[in-house]
Amino acid sequence: MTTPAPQRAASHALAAIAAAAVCGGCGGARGVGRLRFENQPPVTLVNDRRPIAPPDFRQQGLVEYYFHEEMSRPLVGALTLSRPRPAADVNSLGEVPDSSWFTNRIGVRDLSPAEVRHGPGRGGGPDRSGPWRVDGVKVGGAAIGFKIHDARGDRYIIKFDERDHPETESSADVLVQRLVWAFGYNVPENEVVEVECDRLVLAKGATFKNQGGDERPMTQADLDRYVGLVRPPSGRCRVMSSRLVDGTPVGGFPPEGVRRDDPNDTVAHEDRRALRGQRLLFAWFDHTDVKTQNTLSVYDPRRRALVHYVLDFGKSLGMFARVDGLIYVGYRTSWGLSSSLKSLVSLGLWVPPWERRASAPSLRGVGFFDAGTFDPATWTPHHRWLPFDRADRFDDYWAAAIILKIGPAHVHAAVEAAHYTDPSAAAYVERILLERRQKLLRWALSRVAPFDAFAARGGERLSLCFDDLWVRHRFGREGETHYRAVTHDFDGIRLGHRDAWPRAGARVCLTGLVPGRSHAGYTIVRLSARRGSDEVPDLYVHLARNRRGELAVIGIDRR
Amino acid sequence: MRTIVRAVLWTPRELLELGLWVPEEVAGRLDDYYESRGPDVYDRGGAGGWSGGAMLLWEAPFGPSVGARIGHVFGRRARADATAVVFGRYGYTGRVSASVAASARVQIELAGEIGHDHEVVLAGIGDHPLGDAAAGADLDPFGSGALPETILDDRVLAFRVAAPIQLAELPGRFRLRPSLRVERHDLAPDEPAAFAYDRSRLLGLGQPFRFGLALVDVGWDARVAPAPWIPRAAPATGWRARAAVGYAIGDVDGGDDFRFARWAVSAERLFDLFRGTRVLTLSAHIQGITGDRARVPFLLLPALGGPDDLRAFSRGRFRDEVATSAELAYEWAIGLRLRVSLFTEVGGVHEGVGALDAEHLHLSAGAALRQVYDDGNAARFVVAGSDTGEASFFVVLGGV
Repeated sequence: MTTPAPQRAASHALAAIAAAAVCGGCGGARGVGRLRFENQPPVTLVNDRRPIAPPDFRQQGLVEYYFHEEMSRPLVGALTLSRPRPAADVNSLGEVPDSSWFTNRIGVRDLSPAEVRHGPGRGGGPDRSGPWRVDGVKVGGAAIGFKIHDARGDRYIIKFDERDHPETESSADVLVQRLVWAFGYNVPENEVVEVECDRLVLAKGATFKNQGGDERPMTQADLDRYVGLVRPPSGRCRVMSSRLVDGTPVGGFPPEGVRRDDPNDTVAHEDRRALRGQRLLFAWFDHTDVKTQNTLSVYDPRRRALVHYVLDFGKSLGMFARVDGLIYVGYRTSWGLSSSLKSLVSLGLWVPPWERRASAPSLRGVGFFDAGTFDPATWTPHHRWLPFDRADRFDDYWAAAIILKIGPAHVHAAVEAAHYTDPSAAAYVERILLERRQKLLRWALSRVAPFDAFAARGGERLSLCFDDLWVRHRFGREGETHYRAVTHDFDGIRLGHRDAWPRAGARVCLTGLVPGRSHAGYTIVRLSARRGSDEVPDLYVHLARNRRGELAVIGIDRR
Repeated sequence: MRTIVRAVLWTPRELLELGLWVPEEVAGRLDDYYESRGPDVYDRGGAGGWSGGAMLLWEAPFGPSVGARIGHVFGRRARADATAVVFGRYGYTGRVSASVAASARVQIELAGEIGHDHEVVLAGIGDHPLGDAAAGADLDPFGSGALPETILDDRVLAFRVAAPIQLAELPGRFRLRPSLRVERHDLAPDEPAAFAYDRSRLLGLGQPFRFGLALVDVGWDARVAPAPWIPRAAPATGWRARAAVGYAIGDVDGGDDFRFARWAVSAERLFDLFRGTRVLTLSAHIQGITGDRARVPFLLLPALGGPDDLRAFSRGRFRDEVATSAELAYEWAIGLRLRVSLFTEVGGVHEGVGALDAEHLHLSAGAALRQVYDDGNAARFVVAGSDTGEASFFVVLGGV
């Protein structure tokens, strides 16, 4: 984390996130630019839970959604001139403060592997001391499932693996849910649970929606028919249970714009780093099934505000290819015009990446999930998702900085939560996750100045120390990077420079820097670095003295 | 500059958004149906029910046709279908069919068809000039010049019964299919005044005829799709072979009875060049009848041309006692279910098995695009040209 240690200060102005990073004095000097930060600690909490009236449920159906996202939006977009926009939900350090969308967990505190293994909430899945009463059949989506309640009265959606593909989607869902939660997103309580299929009994008042959408009482015959589709010879059903989140669902959040009936939703979704940063995270575990219908906004009646969830990770870890035969998923979108064209004109000589995979998986529960053909630069969800289209390298870096903290022990814990019965399968998935993690981190850290954990101090001369994540995480060797710091004052006037070429270690300190004299010692430090012949993009650290007279980092401007 | 460009783009963008409103509304209505569906999605559970299909066919030189099918599946063993096809300006045909699984391996199929203006294109029979000598025409079906292709008006009434039997897995599916067809045809030129051929040499033209054909068809299909994500209708490796033998008896109004034996042999070999998505196909086909072609209605003679073989030529372009063809095709995937192929075919018709030669072979080459699913093709587009300068295309969207 950056220095000074962030103080959890509730901000009542949503716009404060952006305001913290707007032009202050607007010095016009060339090079350092016009950006000046307010001299205040970075915002770490956004109050986007001011009481509102409960919105109506609103969500597009899949056909309309896909048509809009895959046809209408690109066509209209082609006739629209727009510049790339930086993320707007970030604080002065480029981080995403806590909000109804995101909670900094492993990013700000030590999250133990045991916590990751347990996941959010009470955990454990439905109570198994009594029958699971089926209230209805899960409607929508392709997986077979039921709505149930247990002896405690807790309500769940339970989903079954396809009979030909045991332990696939259930394991993938829970494994990924653990990591997504650790990263900081709101997710439902998901568990892999194995019970006797006969534990499922019809609840009083159970309803069944038929193919025409009409609702009628659900019968024992309905229950028997659907259980019959998934019952294994052992009579024990393995399910993924997902506890219904507290509150009233009001629909998934759209990829573009804001929810107009939620006054707390003030940042366009495509401009949220909390959503744009998911591109890198989801690429890690190949969570390609990203769409509005796999998100959920819930009205919390206690706080009278919306909370936003991400859901349904069952198609991660290559399950789209294994279960649905969509072998290309992760490498191209559903349209795949570019790859089709390449195949066409090359008469099939061009080999698409999904065909370069060594072989189909043979392990129980394992999908088409590999690291060899994984390219974080070209990874894509199955259908277009505007926040991902808008994601830039700064969004990726934010995500990468958090993923760095999700270490092998956390990954191991998440794999344990997936309850693979074949240890080889668990070992394989864990190995691939770690290999993909290395790939995506290397890529994301190579595209910005991956400097973190800044500390500044001094009086007449100041020193600035930071971690070079590239070196610390062994993507490059120690002693090969040359660093230069050039200081400027508030008006952008150059004050001096210092160089460093540390022989060892990843902690870099540049000392003897000349500070600015005006505006509480406002100093802009331009950090540039060169690794061999490769230039590292510049980074500007903005420093100023706080009310206690201590030099503090008040803003980071990555270029 | 950006402001100017924005202003220029404003009008087409607004018009586009307006135009997109209708399909988005339609999509929304579709959602009302689909989103309410339960786990029956993708037909899991096999509960039966209604089904349907639609087709758009555009085949040179007939123009567009549309067809529709409605069917009902009764449990796991029986189904019934009704199909109607309307041929642009040429009329219609209708078919009702039913099938019942008598056992796990044996099925009974019944089909009846009635059609008006069933189309046929005639170019000639064998290498015999068919021009009307009295009119001064001397038409050579094998000549390089354009032949007067004629669309015939065929009123057809047919009934078919078949009993496909699934035999042992060898490996490969081994199937025996005995069938019986009874048909009546009444053929006449669509435009009699423009008919350029010698009618007297075309048995069955202007003379209604009927026949019954008993046929036993033996097929062995050991082709496989080497991966689960490759549609079963796009196998990539293995053999397929077929042999059929049958006997037909019929008569022509105002003429003699006719009877002949019919036979066919074909073989196909697929070579998986890469990952099951680059496939080389070699196939050969021969079919024939026994008997005098002059005493058999020309419609029943083995024929080449059309969507299945010698695709550069019109349907039924070549007819004689024996027809042979061979094909070399390379097909590759450009999408999960989209396949493109380049093919070249050679084929010809002959007076008999003893008269097989290379002299009268014709060359056809072209390209095809198909969208393939497990059960077959959802769309198909073929364009082909011949060594004699003839060209043809057809498009099929959907299926019945």
